[in-house]
Amino acid sequence: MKRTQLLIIVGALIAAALGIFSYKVTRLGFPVVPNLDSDTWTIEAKVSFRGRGDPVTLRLALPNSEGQFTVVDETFVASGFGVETDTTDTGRQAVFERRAQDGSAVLFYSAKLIAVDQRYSSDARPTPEAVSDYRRSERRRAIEENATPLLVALDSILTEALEKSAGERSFITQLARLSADESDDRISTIIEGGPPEISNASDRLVFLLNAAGTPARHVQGIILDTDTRQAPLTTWVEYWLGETWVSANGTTAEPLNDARTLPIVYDRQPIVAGDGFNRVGVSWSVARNFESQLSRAMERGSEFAPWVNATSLLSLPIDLQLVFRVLLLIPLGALIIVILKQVIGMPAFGTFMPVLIALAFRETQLFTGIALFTGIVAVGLMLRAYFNQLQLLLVPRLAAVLIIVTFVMMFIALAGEAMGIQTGLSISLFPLVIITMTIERMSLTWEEDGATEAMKKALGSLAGAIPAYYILTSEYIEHFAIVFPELLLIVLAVVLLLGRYTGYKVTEYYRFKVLANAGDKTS
Amino acid sequence: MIGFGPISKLAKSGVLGMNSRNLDFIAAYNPRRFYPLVDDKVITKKLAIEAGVTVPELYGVIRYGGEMNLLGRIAEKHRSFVVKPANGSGGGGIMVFNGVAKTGLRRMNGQIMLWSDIRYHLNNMLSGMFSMGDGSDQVMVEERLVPHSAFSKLAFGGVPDVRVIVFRGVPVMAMLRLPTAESDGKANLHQGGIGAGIDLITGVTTRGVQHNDSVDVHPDFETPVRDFQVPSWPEILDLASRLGHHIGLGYVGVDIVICEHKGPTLLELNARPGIAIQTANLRGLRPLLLPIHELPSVPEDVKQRIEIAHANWNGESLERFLAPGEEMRRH
Repeated sequence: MKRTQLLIIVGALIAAALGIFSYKVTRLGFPVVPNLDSDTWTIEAKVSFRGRGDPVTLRLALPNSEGQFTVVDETFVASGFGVETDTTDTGRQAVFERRAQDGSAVLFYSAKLIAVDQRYSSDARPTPEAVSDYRRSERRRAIEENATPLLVALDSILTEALEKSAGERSFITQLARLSADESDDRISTIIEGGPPEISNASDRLVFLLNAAGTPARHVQGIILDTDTRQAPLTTWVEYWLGETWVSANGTTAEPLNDARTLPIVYDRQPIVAGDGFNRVGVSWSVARNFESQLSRAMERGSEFAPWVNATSLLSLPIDLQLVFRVLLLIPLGALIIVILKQVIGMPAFGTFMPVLIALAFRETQLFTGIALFTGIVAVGLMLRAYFNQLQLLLVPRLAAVLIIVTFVMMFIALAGEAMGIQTGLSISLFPLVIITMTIERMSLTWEEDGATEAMKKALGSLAGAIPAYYILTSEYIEHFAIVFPELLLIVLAVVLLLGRYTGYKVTEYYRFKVLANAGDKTS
Repeated sequence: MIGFGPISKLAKSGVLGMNSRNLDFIAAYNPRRFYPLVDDKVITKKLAIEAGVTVPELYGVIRYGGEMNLLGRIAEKHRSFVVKPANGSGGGGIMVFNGVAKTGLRRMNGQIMLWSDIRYHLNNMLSGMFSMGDGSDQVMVEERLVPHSAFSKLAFGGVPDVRVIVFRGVPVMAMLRLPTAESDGKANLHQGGIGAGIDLITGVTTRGVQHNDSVDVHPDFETPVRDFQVPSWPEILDLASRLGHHIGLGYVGVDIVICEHKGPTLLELNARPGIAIQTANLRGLRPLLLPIHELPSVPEDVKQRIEIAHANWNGESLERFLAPGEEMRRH
């Protein structure tokens, strides 16, 4: 009876989950795998500087909407500063102003970038002109008048590149190859005679391209190809080829993926300018946003099936979405625990400890996480042993361990910050209470059942946390959980089924091996 | 069962796994509301007396810190006694004293435990450190049972006991638990005590295990642990069966101490008895439990239940114990 009821519930859950899932995939086109070539990004800049007590004017270069991306949802966090954006001939800038700033200050800028397909862009933009004092027409005349070594070398390089090339693109590649070879006498002559900055390979390529009549410019910007938060400023070049600017590697002139390059300033314009401050530092970070295929699916959903959107987590604000990205992994964690406990029979402290530890490891990365966890638990165990000698009562002793663990975590955070290690920040999310409870349970087990048993359980907890960590950090699983939360009904169904599992645990096979083997002999 | 080699071998041997124990027997036969009856040893004691079972005499109960002076008065009067948490599990927190000194109480190993240490320990017990569930607990002070002299060369520094698994009032399997130096005088198997399987009919031990490994002699005395006749065996079965039937829990572990003076005496009941007893007996529980599960009813008379236990242990069919007109339950 109970069995039939359970099977009906399980069947209903699985049918509902698969039904909603397949509707969303086949009818609304929700992506089944996360789209790694995502089209939207969030970019953040953090500007830190020190004021001298004077009025401060700080100009921060901003990405503009002219290239592959449209910049939307710009926000500035700059308490005490007046902020305005300004577009000059050198690009877009944010201008932060304050009457007097003494001591250090931090300003934040963030924006969302949406890729725009340039092919459908209607406004034709004017063809740029190569900026150079050495353009071919002028060069010929100049050589005739006064054959300086620079002009001769320049002419020779450009002629060679032209002769070896079949078209404009291969001309650029040849030129880059010649330009990169600093052992070439002509190149060293150009470096000596040309503008000062061209000892640098990318600047030299820009110089040579302009001299050849191909408009080119030097770019500082960000390559959007990582999902890590830190995005260093990179330099590359752009040249005008076939009615459009092409981003390319500064040394080889190999084209870069336009969908992944975000120019910020051109021609060595400063990222930060202004006065009234010193010790300025700018750090950029980039995060990939939710797939545009998703937003298209959401749009389609709002026409055909409004209930899908109303129940979709993607309609929540982004910070809430981030919370759910973690929350929705908890059912999976629970499933892992059920399997570890009921089917495998892993010893561990408490029921959900391994998954909570794994969630904590998500923040710290696995290896730092394990190191921090063992370190803090070891310190806590020693302290608890000492408090036990002082004969403190149970609850105050737990509280004392909790307080000390807080301090240990504070010191680790401070030390990490001082040494420039990021783990310092993430440990603040490490669940404090879990560590304290682990310490208390572990020391109790230690006292009652001995060190072996305590170690066995501690290792069991960690061993459970590691597979859980890998599952909880999988990009695909996270995608599934947030885009298709209905699939968690299947997890519920499996958990319910395992709730009626009366078979053996894997560890019981080892425990009762002697009985299994005895059965062999008699039968 | 799935045709997975090692696991199916385990199934063939009739081993009762933890999952099956929990679902098929504990969840099916032990109503949750009866748990306090066995978890709280003060209540268990009352029930046992109702069932006509010998229990250790209760000297007093300490409910909160202010009542600790009671311990001093009991110590003066009885000299030898046991202190244990009423809701304790796995023998945690139990302290045995056999004398009074000026500075404290004398423990079994001759050491004096200072009053301050005793008070600290009692406080830990009262705050539920050794107890099931969370929150506070009570401390019981009761008579110290002197183990039967037959055990003098078999129990190191503690009290040996007999664990009988009783299913629907019928004893199904039993083992003798012997404390060792390693187990610190405790009879618990997972702390390094020895478990010896017992022939349910004769009360003679068949084999011993320590840490899941087969042992033939007690490590501290070198005395053999097999072929030992447990004293008062029929009375032990009688006690277990009587209490198991009375308590309302279908699947229960009855722990019995054979006292030199009082004979078989109830130590405690366990609503979730462990499955290690199978290794001690080298026999799976499942084939012993299923026939009793199939009985539509069990007799009220203790003697008849013990007859069933004997037949069951020998692997005989239980059909002859059916009441007129009854049939074995099929599942």
